Amino acid sequence: MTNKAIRFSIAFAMVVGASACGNDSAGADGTDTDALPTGDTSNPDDDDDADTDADASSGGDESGDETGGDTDDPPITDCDVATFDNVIDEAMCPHVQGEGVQPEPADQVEICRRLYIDLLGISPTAVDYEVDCKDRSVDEIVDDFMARPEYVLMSQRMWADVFHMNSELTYHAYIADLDAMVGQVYAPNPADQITLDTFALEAVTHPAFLGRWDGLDLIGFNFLSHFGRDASGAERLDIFPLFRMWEEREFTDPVQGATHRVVLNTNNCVNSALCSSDYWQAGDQVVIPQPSPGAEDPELNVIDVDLLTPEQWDAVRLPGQRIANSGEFYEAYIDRTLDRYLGYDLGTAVPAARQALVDLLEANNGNARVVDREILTALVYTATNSYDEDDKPDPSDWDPNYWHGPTKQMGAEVWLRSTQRLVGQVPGSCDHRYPEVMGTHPHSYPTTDGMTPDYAFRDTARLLGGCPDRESSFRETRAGLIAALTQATLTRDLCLAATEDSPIFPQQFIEDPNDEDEASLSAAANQIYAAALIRPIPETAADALHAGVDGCRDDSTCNPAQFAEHTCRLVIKSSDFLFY
Amino acid sequence: MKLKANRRNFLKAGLGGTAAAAAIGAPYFFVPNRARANFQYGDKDNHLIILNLDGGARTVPMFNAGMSGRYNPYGEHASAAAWSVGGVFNNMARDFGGAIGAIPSITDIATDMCVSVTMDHTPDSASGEGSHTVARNWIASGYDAGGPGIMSQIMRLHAYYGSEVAEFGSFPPVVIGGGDATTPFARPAGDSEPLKTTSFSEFASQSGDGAEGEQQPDWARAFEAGLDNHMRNTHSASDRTTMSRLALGKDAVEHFRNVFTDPALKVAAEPTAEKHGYTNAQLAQIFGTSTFGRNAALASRFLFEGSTAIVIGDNGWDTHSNEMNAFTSSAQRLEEVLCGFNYLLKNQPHPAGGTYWDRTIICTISEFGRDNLMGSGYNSGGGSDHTGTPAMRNQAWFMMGGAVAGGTQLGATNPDDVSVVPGASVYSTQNYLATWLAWLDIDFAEVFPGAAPIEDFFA
Repeated sequence: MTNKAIRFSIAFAMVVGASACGNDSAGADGTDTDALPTGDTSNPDDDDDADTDADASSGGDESGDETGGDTDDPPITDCDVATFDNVIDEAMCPHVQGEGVQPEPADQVEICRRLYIDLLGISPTAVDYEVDCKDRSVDEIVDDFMARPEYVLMSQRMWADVFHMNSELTYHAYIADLDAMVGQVYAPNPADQITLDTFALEAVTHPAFLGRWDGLDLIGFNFLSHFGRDASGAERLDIFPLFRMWEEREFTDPVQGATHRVVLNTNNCVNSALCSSDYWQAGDQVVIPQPSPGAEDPELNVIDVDLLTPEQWDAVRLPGQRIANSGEFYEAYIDRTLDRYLGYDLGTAVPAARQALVDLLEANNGNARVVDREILTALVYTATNSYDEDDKPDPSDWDPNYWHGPTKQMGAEVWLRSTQRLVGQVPGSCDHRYPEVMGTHPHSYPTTDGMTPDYAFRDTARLLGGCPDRESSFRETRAGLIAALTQATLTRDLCLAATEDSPIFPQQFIEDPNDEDEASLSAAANQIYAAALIRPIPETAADALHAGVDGCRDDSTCNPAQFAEHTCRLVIKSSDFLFY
Repeated sequence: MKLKANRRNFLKAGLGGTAAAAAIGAPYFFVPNRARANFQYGDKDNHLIILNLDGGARTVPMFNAGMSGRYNPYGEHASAAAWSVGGVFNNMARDFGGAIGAIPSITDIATDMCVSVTMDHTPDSASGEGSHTVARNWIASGYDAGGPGIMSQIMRLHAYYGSEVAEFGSFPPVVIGGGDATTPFARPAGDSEPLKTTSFSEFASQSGDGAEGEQQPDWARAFEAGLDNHMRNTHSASDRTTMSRLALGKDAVEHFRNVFTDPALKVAAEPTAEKHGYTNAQLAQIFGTSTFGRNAALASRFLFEGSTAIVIGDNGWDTHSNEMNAFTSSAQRLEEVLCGFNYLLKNQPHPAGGTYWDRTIICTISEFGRDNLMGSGYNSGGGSDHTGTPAMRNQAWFMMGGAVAGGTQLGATNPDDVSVVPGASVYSTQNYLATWLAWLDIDFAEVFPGAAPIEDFFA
C-alpha cells in the first residue's frame, strides 16, 4: 500500500497554515496573532530550543540543498522560507511537510462532525450540517461555535473533571463559584473573560479546592490540576507550610444539609516559620493576621473564607501566584488542550508545537480562547483522519499521529446525547458540577417534579465511562468489551423507541414493506446511515453494504422492516459513528 | 512588569515512551523458554487474583504488625505464622451454618499466606516513590513511566488468549474497580485489553442485544463488521488499534453472551441466582456485602468462567486524615474478602484437576505505604502520608494459595523505623509482577527483560 499523503518537493507555502476553507489571521476575539513571530525566516539556530527540533528540520529530503553552497550553516529549508498564519503549522512544518508529508484537508462533513462534537458536545444531523457548516470556512465555523454556550459548557466539564468536583465532599456553593470562574476563562465576550493567570491565582486556594482535599493531598492535586503531574513526597512536604492555615468546619446549609465550610486558622501560623517555604522562592511566607496573645477560645482568629478581606486574600494566595507564574503551568495547560482536541500528546511528540502555543499564550496575556482557536484552525486538527498505512506490529514503526487529522472516539455523554436526538428523544445530560445532588441544592439535572434530579441519563452514561462520580470512577472513553455490551443493550432500545418524527426512524425509509429488492434495501440502508452520518455509506465500504443486503435477502426471517431496524442499531454503534 | 519564569526552560522531557516501547514494541531477544524453565510453579491453567488497595495502603499495621507503636498503633494478633498479624483486623471466624458453614478468621488463614515485608518499587534509590502517579505506573505496568497495564499484557501473551483455547473457557482477564490506581492495570497493550468494569452494579442492567429473537442476526453482524473493518482499513496503524479494541469487544460480547446475560452475574440484584454451586446470597455470606465484597463475588463468577487473572480495586486507602476509623474499616473489609477467597477456592473443584485453591494465588498490591508519623502513630491530622521514608517504601504484601509458602515472612524490617534489617532480602515491584506472569506460564522476559520471579513466595 502507499501512503495517501502526498509527497511534496517544493513550494508548499500556499497550503501550509491554510485550513480547508481559508484562514483569517485575526482571532474572533480581536486577539493579537500578528504580534507573534509567525513566518520567522531567521536561522533556526537563533531559536532557544532549536536543538529540540534539530533532527526534524531538514525541510524535506527531496527538496535538496537549496543553499547550494558548502558552508557550515544549516541549509535553508522550505519550512524556513514559508509563511504561516498559524503558529502550530509553523512549528509542525519540519515534522510534517519537512518529512515529505502533505496531509489532505478534511472535507466539509468530516470537519463539521469534528467541530460539532468537540465544541458543542453532540454529533450533527443533516439539518445541523446544512445550517451550521455547509458553505462556511473552518474559521467561520470555529468562531461561531466558540461563541456558543455549549463550548463554554464543554470547557467547564473538562475542568470539573480536573478539579474532581463533587458536592458530597464539598460545599455546593464553592463548586458553583469555581465553575463560574472556569466559565469566565472561556467566555465569548471579552468583557466577561479572565486570564488563565487570574484563574490559577484564585483556583489554587479556592475553597472548592481546599474543601475537596486534605493535608498533603492539597499539594498533590494542585500539581495534578495545574502542572499535569503529581507532586513527589518531598515536594508535598516542602510546600505544605503554604497551605497549613486552611481547615474546615462542619456546617449545615439550608439546602445542602450537612457539609463543611473552609476557614483560615491563623493560629496555625502563630510561628511564621510554620507557614514559610523555600520551594519556589527563598523565604516565601504567607503573611496572615496573627492570633491574639493569650487567646483561649480555639476558634478565635479562625476566619471563614467569606469574611477574608481582599488584602488578606492577596496574602494567602501566594501559592497561586507561584503556580501561575511557573513555566510548568502554561505548558501543562497547552498539553491538556492539545490532548482535548487532538486526542494525543503532541506537546511531548513535538515540543516546538507546545512552545509555540506557550509563546502565543504569553503574547495574548493568558487568553485561553486564543490557544483553542489556534489548535482548531491548525492543519494538524483540520486535516482528514483518513490515512493509508500498512500494518506494522511494532508501534515504534507507526507513522506519527500528526501526519493526519485526529481520530477520536465519542465520549459517553456525546454518544448518548447524539443517539437520543437521532431517535427523537430530548438529549439527556448530567450536571458536570455535581455527580450527586445533596439535599436540595441547585442543579441542572432534568427533574421529574421540578426539583428531584432524574439520574437516568447519568446512570446510563456511567456504563460507558461518562458522568463520573469522581470518587470511585473517573471519566474514560471505553472501547472494549464492556462498551460493546452496553451499546448492544442500548441501541436495541433506542432504535425501537424511534418515532416517525425521528431523524433516523428506520421504517420511514421502507417504501414498500414487501420489497426485498436489492436496490430498495440498499437505499434504505444508505438513508439510515446518512441520517446519522450526514452522507451515505462510502463507496469504499460497498462490500459491507452488500454483506448486509444480500444476507438479509438470503435470510428467510428477514423482512425490510427488520432490516431497517437492525441497520439503525448497527449504524449507531459502528466505528463510523463512534469515531470522528 | 509581571514576573514570569522563563517558560522556554520548562520543556518537559518526553516520558512515557520508554516503558511502552519496552512493553510492547522493544526489540525482543528470544531465549527459548529460559525465563519460564527456571520457574517451576508456572502453568497455563493457573489463575491470579490481585487485590489493589487504591490510594497507598498502610500495610505495615496489617501484615508486618511487629513494628513500634509509631508505625503500628493497632497492635497484633497471635498466630502460628512467622509474619505478624495486625491487631487492626477483626479476627472473628464467621459461622453461617447450613451449606456454607464456617468461614475462617485471619489468624486461621495466616499459615496459608506468605508475606514479604520489604516490597519496594525502587530498591536501589535513595528514597521511596511518593507520587501517586509514578507509583501507579509501577504497580500497574512494572515501569516508572507507565505503559500497557499488566492485565493487558496477560491478555496479549497468555496461551489461552492466543493460540490455545482452555477447555473451560478462556474468559478474558478482568479489571474490577474505577479507582485511579486500578484503571491503569487495563491500559491497552496494542489491541489487547481486559474486560474492565467499574463495579458489580454495572451488570445489573445489561442484557446484551436482547433475548432470543431480538438478537442481531448474522447478516447484521456481517454488515456491522464490514463497516468497522472499512474504518480500520482507512485509518492509520495507531487509530486502527483503538478501533480493533472495539471490534474485539463486540466479538467477546457475542462469544460470551451467555455469561453476560446470566442472572448469576447480577450478584446483588439476583440473590437466588445460582451458578458453579453457589447462589449470590451465599457469595454475599462468604465475601460480605461491602462494595469490595460484592466485587469479589463478581470476580469469583469470572474466575469460575475461566478468567486467568482478575484485579479487584478497593478505594479509600489514602488516609491523610482521620485514619483510625477509615483504616480499620478498610482493613476489616479486606480481611472479609481474604477469608472469603480462602474458603471458596478450597471448596471449588478445578476443571483441570484439584481445586481452585491449588491453582490460584491471591495477592495484594498498593501504590505505597504510609509515613510522616508522630509518636501517636498518626500525623497531626490523625492520618498518615507518603513522603518517601522507609516506613512508606517497605510495603508488606502477601501471596496466598495452595502453592504458596504459607505462614512465612520474606525480608525483615527494624521496628523503630521500618528500615530494612541489614542483610535481609528486598524485593522489587517489577519482580513481583514478573512472578505473576511466570505463575501464568507467560514468558515474563518479554515484558520485563532481566527480571526474576520471586520464588521465595512458593513452597
